[in-house]
Amino acid sequence: MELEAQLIEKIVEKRKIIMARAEEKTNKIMASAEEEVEKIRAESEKQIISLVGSELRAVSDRIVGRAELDGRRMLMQTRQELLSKVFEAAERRLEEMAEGMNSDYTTILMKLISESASAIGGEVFFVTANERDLTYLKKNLKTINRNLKKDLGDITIKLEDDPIDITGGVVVRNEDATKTYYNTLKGRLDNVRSRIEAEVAQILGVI
Amino acid sequence: MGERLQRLLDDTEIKADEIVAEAQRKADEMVSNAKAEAERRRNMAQRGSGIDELKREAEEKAKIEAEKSIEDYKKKANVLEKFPEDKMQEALELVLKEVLPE
Repeated sequence: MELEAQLIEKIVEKRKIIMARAEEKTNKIMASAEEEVEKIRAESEKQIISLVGSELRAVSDRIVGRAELDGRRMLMQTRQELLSKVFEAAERRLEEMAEGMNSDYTTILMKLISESASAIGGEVFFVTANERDLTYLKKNLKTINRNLKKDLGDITIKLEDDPIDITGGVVVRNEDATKTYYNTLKGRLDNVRSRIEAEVAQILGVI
Repeated sequence: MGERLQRLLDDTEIKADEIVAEAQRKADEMVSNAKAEAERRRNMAQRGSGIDELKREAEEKAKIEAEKSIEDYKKKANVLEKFPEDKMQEALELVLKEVLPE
């Protein structure tokens, strides 16, 4: 009886081993098939992509290209905004300086007239400015003429009757109005901006 | 008794073989289907049709790349905006020096 039980147990064990082997084989077969399928798919995709690659690249280039362009535009705009901050601050500083009418500014006015007269050439010059500056120039015309003669020789500065709407600085013309020199603070600031914007960007580290 | 047990074992062997054979059949079918599908898609691609899905995939991939690119630019812009105040002053001084006559 015991022998019989042992025999049955042995057969059950053997059966288990056979089924386990079968399962193992099955798993290997399926894994190998899945691997093969994956290879076939990958190879097929590769071939298809090589067939329609240019079309797919065009799709990608269109989307990524547009994003790149938008990004660069955004960066450029940020850079311009930062640069504008500097130049707007400079403009405010110049306005304050002009409004304050301190000795620094009146000296600057003299230099602007002198620079304009030198650039135009000749002997008689007509100067105009905003109302505040023109009033100052009228009050001090004799001194101004005397001082400018020291630098520029025998010249005469005359003042226009009508003021112009500018923040500060002067507009100077020769006697027959064939030459006019716009030496306003705003004009100078604009010139400077176009000339040294790159340098300013370098200082700010936004290049 | 011995005979019955031997038959049981033989049946098990047969069943195991059948299981393996079935797996092999399924595997062959999978590979064969994949080959047929690959062939079908290749043919369609050659005719220039049936690539909508590929185009959609390319589009999706490109959108992700585009978003990443925009994010990178945003980060760069944020870095730019955080320049130190002394740099602003230095730039301002330079501008004023250039604007005002010597």
